[in-house]
Amino acid sequence: MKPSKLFRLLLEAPEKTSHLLRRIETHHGSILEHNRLYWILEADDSEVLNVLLCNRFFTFTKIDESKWLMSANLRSVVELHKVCRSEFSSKLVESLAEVAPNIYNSIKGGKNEVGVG
Amino acid sequence: MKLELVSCSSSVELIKSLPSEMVLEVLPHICFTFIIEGISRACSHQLVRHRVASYSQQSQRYVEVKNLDKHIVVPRSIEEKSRDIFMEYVTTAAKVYETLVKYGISKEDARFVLPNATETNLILTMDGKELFHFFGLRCCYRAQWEIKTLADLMLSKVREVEPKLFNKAGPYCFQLGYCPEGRFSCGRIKEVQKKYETL
Repeated sequence: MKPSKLFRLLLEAPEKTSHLLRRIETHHGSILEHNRLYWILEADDSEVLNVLLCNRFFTFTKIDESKWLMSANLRSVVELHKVCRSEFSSKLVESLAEVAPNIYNSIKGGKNEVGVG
Repeated sequence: MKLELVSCSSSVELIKSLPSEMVLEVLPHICFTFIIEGISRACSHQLVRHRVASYSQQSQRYVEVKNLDKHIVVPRSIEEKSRDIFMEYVTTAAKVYETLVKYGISKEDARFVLPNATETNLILTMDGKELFHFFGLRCCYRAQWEIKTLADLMLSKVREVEPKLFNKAGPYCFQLGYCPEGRFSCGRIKEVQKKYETL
């Protein structure tokens, strides 16, 4: 099936294809990379450096002394939480509840079934 | 070749969060996702050299190639001068591939006989900053024709949704005002700049 056809199916009948969607999302790490998420972050330089040392695929823009525009793809968020589990990564995961419920439920369910490899 | 821009992050809200002098800082944050269908494997090999991007490409390990003669990209030079010999090779490659699969050879091994002309489909996500670099190299008149066609199509789509941010995107001579190709320059900088002002 061509990607454009699959995209239409997912768009037009998400309830019918939810099982397929869930399988794609949770089994193919590369698919997660196509989703990008944004946050406004309050942090000092060292805290930002710590995030970057855990995962270099986060992007930061300094807005003022302690405020940052931060973005990352969904895979980076999942990887950060898997590798450097912290209060910060848990908060990022919480923010997935609404925008990526399948991934959020997989992580919260503790099944560790989100394939990022 | 078919290209669809299926998703992009609007810069409007993100720009609001930045000081006015930092508008272009939004580029590495915004992303564009394209569905690309019917390009050759030769083209996708060039595409994936742009590493600051995410790719999901149709597998040749799991997806069997059928009707190869209808799913190949034929360069115009070959179409005009030597289509017959090219198609003869494609037909032979298709026959060998099908025979190998029939003999129980796995698709991941049988595909070794497939030509670079074989069509492929993929999903590509690239951020705004990398897109500027991609357009700088691949919209250039010196770029290979297939990836140049793709880059021009992508630029048109991106300019539709982000006209202000991407009005200066295009080949490097258009972005910089001079050609960085040195002695390899096509020497048509005025023509190129005119084209990309109105693409």
